[in-house]
Amino acid sequence: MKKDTALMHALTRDEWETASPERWVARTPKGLSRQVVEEISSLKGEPDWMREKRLQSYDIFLQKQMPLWGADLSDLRFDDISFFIRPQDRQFASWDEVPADIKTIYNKLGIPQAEQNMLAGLVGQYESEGFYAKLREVWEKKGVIFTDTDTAVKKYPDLMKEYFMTRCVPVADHKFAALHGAVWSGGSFVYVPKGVRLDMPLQTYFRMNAPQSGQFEHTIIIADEGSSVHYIESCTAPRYSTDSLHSAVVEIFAKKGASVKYTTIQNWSKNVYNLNTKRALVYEDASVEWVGGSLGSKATMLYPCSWLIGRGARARHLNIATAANGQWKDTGAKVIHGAPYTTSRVISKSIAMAGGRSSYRGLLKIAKGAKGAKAHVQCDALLLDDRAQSDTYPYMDVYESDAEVMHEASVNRVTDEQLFYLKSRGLNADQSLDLIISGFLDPISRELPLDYALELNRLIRMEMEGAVG
Amino acid sequence: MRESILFVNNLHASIGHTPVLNGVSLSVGAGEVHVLMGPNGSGKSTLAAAIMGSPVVTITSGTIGLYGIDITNDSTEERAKRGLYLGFQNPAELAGVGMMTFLRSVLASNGAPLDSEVIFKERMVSLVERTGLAWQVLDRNLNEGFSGGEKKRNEVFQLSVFQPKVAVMDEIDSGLDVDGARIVGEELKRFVAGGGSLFLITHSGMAARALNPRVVYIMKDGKIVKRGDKDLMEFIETHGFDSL
Repeated sequence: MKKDTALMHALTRDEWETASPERWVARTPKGLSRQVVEEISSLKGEPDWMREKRLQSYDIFLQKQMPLWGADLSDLRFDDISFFIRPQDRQFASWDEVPADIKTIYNKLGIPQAEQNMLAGLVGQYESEGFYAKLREVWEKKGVIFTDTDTAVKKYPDLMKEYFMTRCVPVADHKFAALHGAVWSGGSFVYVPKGVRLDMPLQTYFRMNAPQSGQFEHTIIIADEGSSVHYIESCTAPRYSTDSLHSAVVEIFAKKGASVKYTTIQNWSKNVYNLNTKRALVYEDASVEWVGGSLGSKATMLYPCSWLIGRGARARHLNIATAANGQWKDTGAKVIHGAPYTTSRVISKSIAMAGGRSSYRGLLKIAKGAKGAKAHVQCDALLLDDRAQSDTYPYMDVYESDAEVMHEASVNRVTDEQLFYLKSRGLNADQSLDLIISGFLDPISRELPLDYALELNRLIRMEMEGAVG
Repeated sequence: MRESILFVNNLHASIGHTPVLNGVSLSVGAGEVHVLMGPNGSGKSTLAAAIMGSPVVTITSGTIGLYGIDITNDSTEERAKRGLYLGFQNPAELAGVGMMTFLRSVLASNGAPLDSEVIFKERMVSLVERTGLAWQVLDRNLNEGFSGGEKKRNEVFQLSVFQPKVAVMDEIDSGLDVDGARIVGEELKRFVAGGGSLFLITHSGMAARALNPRVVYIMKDGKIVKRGDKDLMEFIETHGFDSL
């Protein structure tokens, strides 16, 4: 892979945390109300059924409580957030047409080149809506659908009615699912027909630009029987002193024999509340793989969830989270074995430094009747200094005696002794830490394409700059 | 006048508030072997740590020099880059850091051109086997789960890989059996024959036997109390430190 096509290539944190001038052609006033929800729907020109669903969600949102556990959300003010910002009045068919200010950040990140060289399709979203969606002809011809979700509402209503927040993430699931149901905008819709196996990934890139805004993209991936797809998403935002909110929902349906790999590298700036719901329904002999790197944000709550509801269904969760200076990452995995001979493997690695707090929160449930189920959870924490904090909250509910469950946890502290040893061989502080951290993350980084592994390492190094003396 | 490669001048140092080195002076010339012995608690390891710039040791007065350059205020990595090496008495375990990755990273950071992974591995295998370690140790993580003897041999193995100019070896022979001590002695001999200068801290003198020490120091209560040659070493072995 040429270096040019690497994700988030060669940007310094300053460069991508620099905002572009604000632009919008339509936006809702700050705060949330029934009117705001109505306005969002009307600005989008949505069919009645979707508008109704939004309003129902809003009612549920009002009734539900904020979570009493997890990251500290006490500073989150719904009244101070703009829930919908439309930056341009249409979608663009080619990069040439995309306005310069939007294009700048995407160019810097090498997204257009990546699309040319290594992607099967790309959706670009700026603020609340997608401005670009392209799928290579070869896949279009095979019946693959890859577009932004707003377009899918209008173009594929039957699919949307069946799959959108119905049995995967219902709107009543929790407060933020309900919020999402009311104000969702943008995201991607993927449908892969039976037997179609994409050999290049699909990618969506989200950029939040305006201050005090929210991004609520909704992604649905339907992999029909025997199909396979790798979907990658990444997101960034400029740094402001005020808070923004990101509350996305991802619903994955891996039908019989299908395989879906979902990779995220999240690098929101440190003023973003990142509260997401990602869930997969995994049918007979299908597999889902979640690979995630959570580096940025002020607070993240994210527990990708796999429901193994078909015989022989498999899930793998590989997760890396870093937390520094005032960041609170509460992340983990949920796996529910609801059928026999299902297998799951969770590897969660977190790095905490300089006052950051990183927690693993996971649920492993093996339902009665899930005979021959095998589950393995490994959560490792690396503390770089005395001010870092790491906690583990593993929940295990096993109702089937014919099941194999293993849970391993470790906490490792980088000691002065270790650093002195490496320095005595001529490595400086950064190089020493790099070696230790790369070694720690290796079981996960070797699952990433080389480009991503290199970028992930680079991003983590940036997070650490100056964090340890 | 014989050029001093490693020079310690009236060094006073503390660990926390406790003075541990109370005026140590020594000078090691090119290609020479100097041996330091002394009872437990005399400050030998602290001296080794101070020479390497350990963050735990505070220099209160005196200087340390390498090739005539004052390195008293240099960082540890700077000292290493100048060619100084410390063989630890209790090497730290680096979980997750593979031996090969470590070796290559260090060589790369010194600007050494690197062979292909295959050729490099072959070279490492032959070097590591010379110290009596099984080659499989190269597929493990740095010192992680190594026995005491394996850790010592690893410190000696790294000498042949990194080829420093001055090696301070802190009790490299303790915890090794007779054969192990002999192998280590031979490796150290090779190191000196290749032009290295050696400051060997030893509890028993086992490894020093194969070498030809120019000076033998006896340390007690943070100071050097006696200087001599090989005969002094033999005297201590027979009569102990109390007889001084």
